[in-house]
Amino acid sequence: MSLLDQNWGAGGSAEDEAQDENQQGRPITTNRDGTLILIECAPQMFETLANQMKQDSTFDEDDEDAQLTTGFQLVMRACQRFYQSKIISNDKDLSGIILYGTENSLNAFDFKHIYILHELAQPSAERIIQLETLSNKDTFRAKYDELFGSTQATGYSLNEALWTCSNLFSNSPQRLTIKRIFIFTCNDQPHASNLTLERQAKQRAKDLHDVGIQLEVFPILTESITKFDFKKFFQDVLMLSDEDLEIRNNQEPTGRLNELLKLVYSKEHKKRAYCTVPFSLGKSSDGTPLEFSVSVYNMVRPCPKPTKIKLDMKTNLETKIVTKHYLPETAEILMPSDIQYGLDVANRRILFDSDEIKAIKKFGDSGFELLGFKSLSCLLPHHYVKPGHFIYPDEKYVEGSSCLFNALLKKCLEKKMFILCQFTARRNTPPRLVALTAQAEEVNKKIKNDRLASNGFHVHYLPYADDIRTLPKNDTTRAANDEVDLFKNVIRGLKFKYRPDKFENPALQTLWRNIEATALNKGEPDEFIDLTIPSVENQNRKISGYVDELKQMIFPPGYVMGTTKKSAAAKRKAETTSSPSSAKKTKPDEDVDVEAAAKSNLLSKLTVPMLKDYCRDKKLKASGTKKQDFIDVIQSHLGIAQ
Amino acid sequence: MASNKEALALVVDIGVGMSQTAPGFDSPLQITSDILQMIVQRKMFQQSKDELALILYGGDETNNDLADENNYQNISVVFSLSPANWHLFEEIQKIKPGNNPADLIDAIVVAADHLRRETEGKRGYAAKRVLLFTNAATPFNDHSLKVILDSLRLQDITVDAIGPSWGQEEEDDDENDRPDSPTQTNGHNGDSASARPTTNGNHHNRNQKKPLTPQQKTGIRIINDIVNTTEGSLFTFREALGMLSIHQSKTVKPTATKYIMQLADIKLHICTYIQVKDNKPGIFRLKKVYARDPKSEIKVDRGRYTKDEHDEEIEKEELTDGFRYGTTFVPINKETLDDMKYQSEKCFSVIGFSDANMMRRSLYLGDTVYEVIAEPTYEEEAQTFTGLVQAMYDTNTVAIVRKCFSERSSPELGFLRPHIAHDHICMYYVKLPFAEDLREFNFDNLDVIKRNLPNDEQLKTVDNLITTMDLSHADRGREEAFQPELISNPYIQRMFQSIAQRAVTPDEPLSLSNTIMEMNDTLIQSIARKSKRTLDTVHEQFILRDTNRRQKVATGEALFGNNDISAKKARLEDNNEEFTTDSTSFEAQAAAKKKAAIKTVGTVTPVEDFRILIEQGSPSLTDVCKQMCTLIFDLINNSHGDSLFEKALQCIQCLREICIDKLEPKIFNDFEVVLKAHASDIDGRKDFWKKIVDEKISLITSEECIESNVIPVEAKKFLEEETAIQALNNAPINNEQDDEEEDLFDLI
Repeated sequence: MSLLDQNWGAGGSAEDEAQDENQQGRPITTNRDGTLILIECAPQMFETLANQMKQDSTFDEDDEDAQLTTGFQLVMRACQRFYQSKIISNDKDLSGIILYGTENSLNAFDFKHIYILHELAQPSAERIIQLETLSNKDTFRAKYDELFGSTQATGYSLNEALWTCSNLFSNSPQRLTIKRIFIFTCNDQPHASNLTLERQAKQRAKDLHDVGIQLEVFPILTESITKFDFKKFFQDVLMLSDEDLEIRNNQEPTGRLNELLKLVYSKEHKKRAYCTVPFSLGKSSDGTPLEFSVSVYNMVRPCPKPTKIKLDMKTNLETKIVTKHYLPETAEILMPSDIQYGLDVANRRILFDSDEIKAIKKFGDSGFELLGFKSLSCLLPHHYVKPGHFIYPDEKYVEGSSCLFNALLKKCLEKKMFILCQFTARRNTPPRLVALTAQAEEVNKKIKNDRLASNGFHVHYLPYADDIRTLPKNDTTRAANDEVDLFKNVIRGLKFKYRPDKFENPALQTLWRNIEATALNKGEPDEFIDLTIPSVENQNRKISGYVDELKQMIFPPGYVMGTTKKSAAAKRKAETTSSPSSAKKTKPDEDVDVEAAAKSNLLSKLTVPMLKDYCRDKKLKASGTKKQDFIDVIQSHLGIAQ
Repeated sequence: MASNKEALALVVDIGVGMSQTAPGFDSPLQITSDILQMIVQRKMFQQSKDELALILYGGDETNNDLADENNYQNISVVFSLSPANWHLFEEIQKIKPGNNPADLIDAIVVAADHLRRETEGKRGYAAKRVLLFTNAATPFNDHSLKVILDSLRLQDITVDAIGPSWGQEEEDDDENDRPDSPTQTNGHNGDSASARPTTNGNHHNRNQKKPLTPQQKTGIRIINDIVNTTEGSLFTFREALGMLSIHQSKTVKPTATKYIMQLADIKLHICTYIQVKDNKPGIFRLKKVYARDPKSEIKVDRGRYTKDEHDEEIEKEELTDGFRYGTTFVPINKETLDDMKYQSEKCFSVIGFSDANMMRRSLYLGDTVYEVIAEPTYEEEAQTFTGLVQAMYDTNTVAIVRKCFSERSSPELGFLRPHIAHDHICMYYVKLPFAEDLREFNFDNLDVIKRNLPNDEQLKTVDNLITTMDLSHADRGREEAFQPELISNPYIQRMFQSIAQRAVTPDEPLSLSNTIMEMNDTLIQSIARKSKRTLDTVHEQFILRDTNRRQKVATGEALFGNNDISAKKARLEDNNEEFTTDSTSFEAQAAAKKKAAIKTVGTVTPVEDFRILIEQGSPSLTDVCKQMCTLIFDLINNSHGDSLFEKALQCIQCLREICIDKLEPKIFNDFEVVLKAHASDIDGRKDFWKKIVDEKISLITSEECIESNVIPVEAKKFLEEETAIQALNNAPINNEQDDEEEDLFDLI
């Protein structure tokens, strides 16, 4: 689970997920996370990093990261990456940075040695550029001194630092779903000499915990500090059980930090139901509707590209669009009630009110209505119109939903059936037919707790008769067995295990990187490797043998595939398509060609269609459909010995 | 242009026989008229280029090119061959029964002659057809039949006939009940004439069952002869209605998008066709028009404004493209933007092959299923393509593909699945997600919680439910029921029906039907019967408790402002509408009153409207004032900046005048109290109140109107008092402002 993941630290069970959707499925409030990064600026933070930290932080061979020699630089870089990743993954989330142990102070309470570098806010390019200078080896020292004072202070209080954080959270104008504090420190017992301060800090941590603020500690090891013992102090701050403590103390201290240092270009998706709707099985004899409740989720949707916005050139500020409806003659601005909707049929304008348009679209309340069950084999490959959903029972509206849902799930799996429903997603959307296919839980056998698929039903939209088009039939002659066998070899040579997370979207990744480069005044955007472009060279290395054979078998010599200039054969075909296809090629010159080729023993250079045509014309019957069969029969027909 | 349109002569018998019927039954002519209307509607909706002519015989009038004093009498071409239009539709509606003799054969000759004259020298006609509506009750002369048939054949004219029944001469009646009737073969939708979309459902088309007369028997024989000779068909009314009851949108001609498929060194010309895509008929694209003058289309102006309190309009030239990076705005000019765009060439490249079982349906993305075939002109490449499809089919593999439509579009990922039928070989292409498109949500295993585990009995019940509701062989002939290929989109049906209804009877409310349930009523009923007992058992065995936490109605109106509601409510009251809980009928009814709505005060010329309505004296003064109040609130609330304040102010002044004039000061005074509370409460609306103060539009005083109990001092004070103080003094008003506003209307 990534640190960028909003569910981090919280055991996200499905039941409390639905809280923010209303029945319409339209989220009223946005879920935002808040993260405050609290950094201790003790002198040790400016020592050379312990070797293990260095190694770990430079494992990705990033030149820039290799220059990070001190803990402070490393932390600043981690913050920078955190911001950068946040902008892509969820730029509505708020973050902030507070330093403690600085000479200068900047906070609402006049606490000494606590400096709020960034208030809780959405990340911006300015912040990232500032952090860049604070980690760069040439600039970080000077910048640090300028902002926070050149000497390191002692006698600061972690309690006050945490209090400052807590205050920032409570002053946040936005409602925050998750609040957490990351503490970066090289000091495993900050108040060793002052029991009062220690007690205060622990109490504060407990208070924070009680109001749902999560704490996490990232130890920084340096030349002089090579060990970080959570037991000394932070066990109580983090509320670690003894087992957790054990795990924590034995953990690589850099594991989580490295996760922060990684720059992730991926959008984060909040686990929020698209809608929660009733699932109706019908009515029992006494008229009680048989209904349970399900939450509908979108598991696959195109990730939106950053939207292009229009900026005011003078101020570089955002603009808004105001839509006005007006009458062309009088330029009179109209209200919605003055507008009707019309369409022209055979020169007559037919009118509807907006209410009527809505009423036409409204067929019933939202939800699933059971029509019946069908064998999975009734679901054909082309039965698809738009991306589907996933449903999971919801106990919030109807208790007992899970049990009935589970029974349906088990039986559908067992009987290899799917559920056919009529599904209305919203009140004013027309219904569609959907197939609900059962999904059993799938767990990775090798890694425990790695769930490959959750149990529930997939919702697949089915087309209506109106959506399926009638297309001309294509009935090319089936290929001969040896050709098919060669293709099987080609397939084997290029077979790989498809995984949906294997390919990143080249257009999206490029755009993200380019925007970032422009915003941060970087010369070149981060490199992106496009895996969707197949390397023809590699492919050839694996299968060129079969391909050559295929070419020889099917194409005439010198044929260039895929060129728009039509080959002679294609032209011939084009000329003859207008006349009925049979009994066409009795042109003597072609026959001569075949016969000439046969005489000079070049029959194998001709294409199968040419040979076939010749055989058909001469009413020769080949013993098979392979090329050699045709050659044999032609040769015997012309009395040429092999 | 390719020859693709049809010339169709509708020849209708309006003679005596067609209008004879027993009470309670529709006459053949009535049913004919319904069928004709459906045909014409369909042609219009499909924007068909087909041309139609309407020829009536058996009426009083004679109007045809062949007529002279003795021949071809009582045959009238009422609509000359041209594309279907409303004029034709109205001609059909105008059809009245005649009582003159006219010859069926003569009518066909007139039709054939008309078709010939009208199509001669013009190109583009793929077929010529005569569609004959008759019950063959009128006598006719068949001595020259042979010559006429030859002539029809020579001209390539097909004759189809539609009538109440075409029973063989001896076994005549009861064709509706005979299961093996050759005329009852119209499958899924020919079942009931009552499912027809154009009539409002209160009369049923039923054919009168009575024995055929000898004349009819002869007539039917001759018609049979004509139809067979010209390779036409016979349809019963029932069949015709069934076929026409399903609306069809314009058919889309399949067009190929061509690519070169690349697989290592193999490059093949291929074509992709849309196989499945959500059908949104183009005719449903609605224009916004002005309610009072539907001829004028409304224009939309989308201006750019600064996003601050100044609301300044910005010219196009002063705008630049940009992106948001966190809270930073990153301006990017056009050229850089093009440079930044991912560059790709048009391509269709196979990345590799994968096990078909890995392609979970839940991964499918995009809105289209494409059929992919080789371009047939490249024979050898087509052969190669076929070989590949066969090999993939045999090895149960799919091909993962990078596809890019053009240099300007973003590349997408998709896969090819081989499809082989006895007479068809192709691949299907569906889009796949990129890593970014996946949302990896985890859900707990349901079995973990004990109460979610169904017991054996419960499982058995669900097993039963599945068995009793198995649709795999539930349809007639043990066919699969609810095949997507056979179910029409109910929305499309309903939309067409509504358009038809509104076009024909513009003043009637829409009758909205066509749910999937209604359209497949018989099937649903039979399944419901079978599953009834099992459902009862489900009800007994599974405890489902509604927590009542679901909001019953959460509409946009409920969420966004109450003015809307009060306006609606006002409108409802205006119409003396009973408030029904069924929202479908409510919406339909409310909508149906659109004509009435136009009689209300509109926003364009409210003052004029108001005065006219007051003069008319209906609706009542209070009602009209109520409308005006609502409208003023609308204007204030919807005003962008202060753009509509002036108009609102005029309305208020006008309302005030009228209230004084009509001795109803309370209406205005109550209104102004609410207005003041309202305006002082909402940002940006304070300015409006300021205007009222500046204009000294005070409460109506006792000096102005004897009915008022407000003395001038009070009125002055009311205007002068700070809104904040006012709010304090009149705390209830402010706090319960929402209620207050609605109460106002009750008060009036």
